[in-house]
Amino acid sequence: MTRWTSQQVAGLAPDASSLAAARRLARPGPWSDTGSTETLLWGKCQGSGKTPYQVSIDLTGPAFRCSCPSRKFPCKHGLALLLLWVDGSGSVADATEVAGFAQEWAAERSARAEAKAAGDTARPARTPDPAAAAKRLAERLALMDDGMDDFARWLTDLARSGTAAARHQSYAWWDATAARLVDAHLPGLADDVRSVGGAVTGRPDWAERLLVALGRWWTATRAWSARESLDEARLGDLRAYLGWSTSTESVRQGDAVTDRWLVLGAHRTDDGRLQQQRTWLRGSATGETVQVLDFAAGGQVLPVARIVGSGLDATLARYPGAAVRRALFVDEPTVSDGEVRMPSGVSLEDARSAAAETWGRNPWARRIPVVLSDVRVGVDRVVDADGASVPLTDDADVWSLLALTGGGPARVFGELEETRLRPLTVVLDGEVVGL
Amino acid sequence: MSDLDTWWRDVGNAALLGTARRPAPPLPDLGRAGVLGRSGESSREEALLDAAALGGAAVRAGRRLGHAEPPEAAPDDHRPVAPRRAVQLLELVMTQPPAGAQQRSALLAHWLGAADDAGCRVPHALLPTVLGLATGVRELRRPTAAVLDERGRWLAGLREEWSWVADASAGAEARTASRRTGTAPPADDWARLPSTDRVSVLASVRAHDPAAARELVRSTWATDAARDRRAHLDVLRIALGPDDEPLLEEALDDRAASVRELAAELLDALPGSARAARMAARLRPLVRRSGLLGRAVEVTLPDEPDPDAVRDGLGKPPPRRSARGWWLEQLCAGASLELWAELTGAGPVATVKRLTDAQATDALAGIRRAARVRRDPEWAAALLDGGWDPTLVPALPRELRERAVLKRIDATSTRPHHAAAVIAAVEPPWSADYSVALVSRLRAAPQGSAIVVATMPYLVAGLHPAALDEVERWLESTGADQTLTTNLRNLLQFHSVKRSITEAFR
Repeated sequence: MTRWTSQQVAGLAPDASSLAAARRLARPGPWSDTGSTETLLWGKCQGSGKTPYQVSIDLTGPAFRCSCPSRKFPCKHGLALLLLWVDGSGSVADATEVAGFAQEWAAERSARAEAKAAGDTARPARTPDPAAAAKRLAERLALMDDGMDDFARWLTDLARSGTAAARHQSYAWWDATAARLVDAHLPGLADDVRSVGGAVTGRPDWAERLLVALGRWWTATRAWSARESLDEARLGDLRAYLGWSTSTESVRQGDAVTDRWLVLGAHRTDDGRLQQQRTWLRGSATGETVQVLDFAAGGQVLPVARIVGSGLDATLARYPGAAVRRALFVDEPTVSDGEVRMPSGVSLEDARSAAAETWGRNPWARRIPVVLSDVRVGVDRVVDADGASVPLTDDADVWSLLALTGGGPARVFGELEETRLRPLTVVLDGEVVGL
Repeated sequence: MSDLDTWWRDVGNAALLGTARRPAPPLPDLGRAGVLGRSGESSREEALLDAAALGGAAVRAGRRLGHAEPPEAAPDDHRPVAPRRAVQLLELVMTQPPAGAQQRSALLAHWLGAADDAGCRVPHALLPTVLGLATGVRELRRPTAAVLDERGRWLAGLREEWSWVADASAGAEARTASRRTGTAPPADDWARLPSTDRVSVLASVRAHDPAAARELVRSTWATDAARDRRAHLDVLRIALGPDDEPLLEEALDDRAASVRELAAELLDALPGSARAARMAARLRPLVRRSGLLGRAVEVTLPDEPDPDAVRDGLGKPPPRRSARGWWLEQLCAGASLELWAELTGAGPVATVKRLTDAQATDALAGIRRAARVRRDPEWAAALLDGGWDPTLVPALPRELRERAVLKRIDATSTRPHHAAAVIAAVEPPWSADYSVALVSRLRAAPQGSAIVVATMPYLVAGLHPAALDEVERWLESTGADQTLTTNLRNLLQFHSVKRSITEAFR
């Protein structure tokens, strides 16, 4: 397979100091017994101790293992070996025979994956007490019902006294409402209330935003009271908005699709409390685009990012939902050998109608994935070949985008968020570059 | 305004005031969607919330796209992108400075210079990072501007923080030409260059062709501002020679005091000049031999200067200086040093020893200046015997200079910061022998570790690659001294990365 770029390796580093340490190690000196195959990379690195550390990397995950005691993941040895391999100077040669220690690990990994798959199918056997589960569910629904009633009353009070008055409320007022929603097991709705409440004082367009938010929240209360009449997909989207999580177990057993998935783009956020990684994947057979979400809180580290533009052979299980569906990997994907092409993209007008159509099916969808053809990037917006334009989100990496495109037409993948676009990937001369 | 727009505005107004004061307007025809209002009874609040929900969905789905002119695209680049290996090194230097954060700018400057010499540009993807770093570090701006090419200049033109690029680029071409080949720009181009670039262009031309540089200065002398005249004159310090005397002599009559002072200072470096002869004539009557054997020297302070003497630099003294003492210093700094042999009948060493009376401090200060600007090794050595003065060190021939510094380091090795000042006295880059000797001296010194820490910037800039083996050996024997280990490793890394950068552009 083609060797990666050092930038891709840098993207895997858990922090800057690990990468710095890895760069110091990325020279042939301390390494021995190195080699690589299509999917596996291995080597021994002489550290301060007597026995060299054994490093193995599965390039498909990518997944790492190292015998060093570091708690960083991946550790500097893994990164250094990758860098050495990327360097291409021949220090990590292609090999046909895998070193023993790497072979063992690869075997363990695939055995574990099989065991897990087997476990997944075996698990329904140990069903917990159904009566207790039903009781828990009834209790939860009662709490949610009360929370929704309370929230609907709060909304009608707000409507009666007016948004101008609400604007002068302190953030604590919004936060108290959000806290009650959290207590009622409605954390997703609570986040929305907090975010709108936090923006109300500062923005010039606050009145319209608050009005639209009131409409959205009202829709949620109405949809909740009519939930008996919703189909599974619509209920799934509503649940996702309210923050009623679906267990991964039940997702795994559900709606799985095996396909060759193209990694369209990825975005990471960190609000200080929680790190989130969103990866957009497009199935080449189905043409459907799904998102895989990863979270990390506290000292946790997000899983390494998938390489933008690469193809993955994988089975993805989709969460219940009507449009812009979330999915998870049923098993570890393998990097696909065949070429996976970025779709050619559409005009902004077509992307807009597709978005409107998507909102028609799932009014809770916050971000619509779009591939745009021939858009030119300006300082605060993109303009397509027809002269239609969409402003960029405030967090868009506009300077990289401008530097790469030079104002010329390019294919861009991004997320349409209400009226704005967050570009995540750009295709230049056939090369896919993640931002 | 359509009915829907009017309705949505009315909904907005009702929401602002609250339904207690104003009811929501009735739902209009929402067209093909076929949405109808609730049939049953609903409260005023619910009617408003219904309207917000429906209107919000309609606005979101039906919003028209804005239209805009496409932004102006960047012109095509002229230069090829830097070689792949060089690009990797640039990424490395910027994101993970291999020799410590303090050395990043120096390595980056080296990369930018090497790229310019090779006629290459920064790859597009790295432009934002390079521009960001150069915005923060002023010394990087010029070298950055030289390798941005069209795409980079276009990009910088779009962002307020990068507006410095326009100025820095204006002279980049002329600077590149003058730096590589020492070619003087045509007089017209010279006249139009921004002031800041003219100085660097002039400096490069001066180094290659002193006369051509002097002609450039003359070509705009009559129209340049006093500040520019002074700045240009200052560049003539490079390769100053007797040919420059006429221009300097003219400058003694300049309108601006700052230019006159600088002209006098530069003439101090020309002992064969007419001004030097005039200064000598003024100094001669003030110095007398005395004592039984004529071995003592008496110096008298000069009287109020005449207009000619004022023109030669005997003007207003600096603050807190006696006027007559200052004039004596000026005379000694301007007159030829050979005069002293005639006046005292002794060589430099003896003369310095015999200058002991009350006026001697002022006279010696002048002699010191003369020795410094004329790079007179004999006098510099004689003066250094009397006391350490780092500014005199450059006047010594290389061997003596380096020996003097090494000797001084032996004397100050227990005071790291003194040693740092001593090391700073020899301009980089250093010779191979000196570098090796210096490193082994530092290694042997009891405070070697502290000296390395205090002198890192000089070691980084000055050390000859020949000394790196010695540094490596030192590193192997440092033991538990973490600070020293880190610094020595950074030093090695710096030089190895620097060499890699140079090679990457070959």
